[in-house]
Amino acid sequence: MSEVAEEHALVMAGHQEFLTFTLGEEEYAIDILKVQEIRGYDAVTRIANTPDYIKGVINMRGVIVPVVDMRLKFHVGQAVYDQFTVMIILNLGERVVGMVVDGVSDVVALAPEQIRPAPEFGAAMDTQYIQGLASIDKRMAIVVDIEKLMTSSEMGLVDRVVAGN
Amino acid sequence: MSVDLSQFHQVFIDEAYEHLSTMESLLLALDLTAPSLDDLNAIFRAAHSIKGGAGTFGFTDIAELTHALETLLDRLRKEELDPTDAMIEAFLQCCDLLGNMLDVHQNGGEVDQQRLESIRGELMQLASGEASAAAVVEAAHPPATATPVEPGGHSWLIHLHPGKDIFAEGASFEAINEDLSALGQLEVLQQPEAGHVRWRLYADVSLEVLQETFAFVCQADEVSFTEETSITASDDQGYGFFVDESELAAEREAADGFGFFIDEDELPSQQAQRQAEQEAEQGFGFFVDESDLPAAQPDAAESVAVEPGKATGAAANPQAGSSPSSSQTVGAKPATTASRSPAKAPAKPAAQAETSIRVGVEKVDQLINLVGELVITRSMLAQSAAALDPMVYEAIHNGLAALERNSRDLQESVMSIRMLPINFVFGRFPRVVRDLANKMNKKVALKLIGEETELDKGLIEKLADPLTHLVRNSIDHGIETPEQRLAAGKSEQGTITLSASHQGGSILVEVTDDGAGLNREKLLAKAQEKGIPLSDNPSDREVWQLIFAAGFSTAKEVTDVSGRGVGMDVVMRNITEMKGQIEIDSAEGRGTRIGLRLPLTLAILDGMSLRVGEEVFILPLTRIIESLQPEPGQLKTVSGKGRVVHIRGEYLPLLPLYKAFNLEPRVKKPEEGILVVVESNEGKLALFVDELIAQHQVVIKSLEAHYRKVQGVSGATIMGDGRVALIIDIEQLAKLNQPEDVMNISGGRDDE
Repeated sequence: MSEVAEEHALVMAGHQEFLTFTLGEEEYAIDILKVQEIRGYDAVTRIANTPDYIKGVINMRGVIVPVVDMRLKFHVGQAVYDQFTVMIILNLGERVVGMVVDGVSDVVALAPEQIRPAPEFGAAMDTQYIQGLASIDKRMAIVVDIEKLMTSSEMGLVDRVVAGN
Repeated sequence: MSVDLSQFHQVFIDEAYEHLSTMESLLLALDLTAPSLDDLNAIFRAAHSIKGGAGTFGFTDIAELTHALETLLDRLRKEELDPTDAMIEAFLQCCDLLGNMLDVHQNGGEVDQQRLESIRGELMQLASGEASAAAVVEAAHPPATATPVEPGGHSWLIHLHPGKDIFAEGASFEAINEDLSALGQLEVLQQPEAGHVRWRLYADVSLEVLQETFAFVCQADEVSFTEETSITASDDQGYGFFVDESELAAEREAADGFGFFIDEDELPSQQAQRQAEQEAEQGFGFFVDESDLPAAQPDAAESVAVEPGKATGAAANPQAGSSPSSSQTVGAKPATTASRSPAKAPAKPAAQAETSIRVGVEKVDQLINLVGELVITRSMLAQSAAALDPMVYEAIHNGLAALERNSRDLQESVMSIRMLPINFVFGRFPRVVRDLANKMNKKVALKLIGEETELDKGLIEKLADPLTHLVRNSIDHGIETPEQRLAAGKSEQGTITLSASHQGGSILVEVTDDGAGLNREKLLAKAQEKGIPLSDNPSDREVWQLIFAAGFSTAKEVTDVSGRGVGMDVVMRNITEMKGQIEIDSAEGRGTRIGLRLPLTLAILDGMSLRVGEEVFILPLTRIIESLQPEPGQLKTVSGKGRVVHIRGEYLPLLPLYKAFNLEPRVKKPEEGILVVVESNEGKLALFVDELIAQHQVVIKSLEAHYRKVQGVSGATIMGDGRVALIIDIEQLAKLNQPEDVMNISGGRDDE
């Protein structure tokens, strides 16, 4: 996870920085301004009667923050928890959420024209949360509107959504 | 040289509200037969401070009203008039109106001018009512009131005494003359000489207007205004006619920032200076360091005006005519003050300003959070250090022990910042009871017990509404009319008792009346009419609970006091929100007692930590009755579904916590674990857990801030190892448990 800090892409006018991470075979990119920090997976307190992907809550310096395992949510990768498990702490306006992913890969600067509209395709995520596709070097990353996703009723992180179990 | 005073407006308004509430409580406590001079003085001081502040900040309407108030109060404290019920009523009305006016100044809106006029008129009339010789002068005197002043009857002596010759530096003497002439008839008493000028202005204008006129000419402390209440300039003889009281009043006016009357060279004695200075401090208690304030502040001007060093340096006063007046005024002061108001404690308000500060609640909350973090960090540190050999690392262990003590003390002190005496709520009730009792033609005495009991500020604020509802209900429905009471063989006057006391980790607030009590039959009939389902033979407890149902009222007609059936359900909701409970006791014909049991604070909880599987939970200590390890024989299975436990003749439903929270426990047999008997509104309940860990004070954190409400959990806290532990919400748990489990067993439910 430390290579993220090392790579400072030049941000030219109109370019936006994204953090990319992997979930299973796919690579995703999210707006880096939404990322508060990246940390290991540790000391999560379970909450009863929640969907399995809501792992529970952690203590982020005195603030109690929920943790979501994206691997379980989107049924990709292996949901193992060890010292290599990575959690991205997102700061979405009022809310702070922890998100477990397979791995964090890079910080990239993308010009708006590099992000192309996504066709209907079979990604794990619903297309309504996908802003577009971006090619980085020879890879392709799915650009996700993470705020929209995390506050959606689908995630069950906000009130009025009764998580069925 | 004008300074933006609006930054001080909030301070003034806050202060004024405080003064108002002081005044109100003192007024209500005032014994009409033997009024205490101390109290009258205290009331006067409060009014005076409001007036001073209002004048300074240009809230003229408030200043005028308080002036009228003060005039009457002044006569009371000088024992020229005896306080009457009508006066107290007028004072209270006036307090209300002032509160209203403050609100208007703060939030915008309209002041009810008609009400203002009528109250002021009433005060004036009361003040002059039993007029003595002095009163006539007094009535003619008030400077800020709307009393029409005869031409020439009201004048200001203006003395400009800048440090340098401002006219040589470009200021225009003519321009000032023009400005002043616009206000009224102007007489130049001394032509400019090294910047010094004296005028006499015959005009009924307020001090602010004059100050504004000079705001662009010089520093505020370089000009002094003396208000003259006399007849005409030529009628110097008239001054001899004034008796002490009016002079005293004029002098007081000057000292509190309304008129800077003292010509420096006329100060007769050091004593007078001291007095004036003290007066000045009283009027502006919230300006801690006057000398630091911008020079344009009137109060700064005032303190300069009485500076002895300046007095000697000032130019000789050519106004022989006004001399006697001024010196007499000041001279009279020490003597009268000493004899009339012996209990006056001039330094008090000033001292208060220095010993307390206003801090935003969010700052305090932040502090509490940070201290909570500190405590957690400390226990994490202690846990790591526990692994170190105490022999080798003695210093570390000692240091940690000291840290623990200090952080605990720190936490307690910080928590105590939020604690306020319950008097903050109780204080409003003498007034409420008095007004309501009058309105309903009932005689009600209010008794307050345990006003010093401290509880969290947040709770105090939330308690005000439900308590008001309860007290109004007691007066309206509880206490009977004097005739009914006499007929029932009770004393004519009913009593309502408000009490507060600590009981374990909670606060018990009770509203008790000796009125008619709740009527079981009436309530039952009403319940039937409303279609509220009840068991066949309901207990008193169940019947009393009916009054909390929304829309439930047994009042025959709706009054403006109560009877619409809202109120009690609001009380219930508020108290439940505060994690409190309501108890009702009532005996027909003897009265009703409503008890509110509340946690001490919303931020900290006394809890028992317990373990189920790998997880740690916190159970509120106040809800725990006992804990035990059951014998196999105590456990019974009911119709193959749920289980109950038989404890000392009671059958309690058994709720395994691992089932409620869907966990894998270490033990599944209750006889190998621990049962914790807890109390909920639904009745007692035995929770089955793996083990109890320890008792803690935990800082309550919200789960909803970043997540959402979780069923069966009221919040979370952070344990010593930095992990999150959930706090169990027993009420919800009991409800969650109800449908599928064993709650329908009658044996275990009725016995409380």
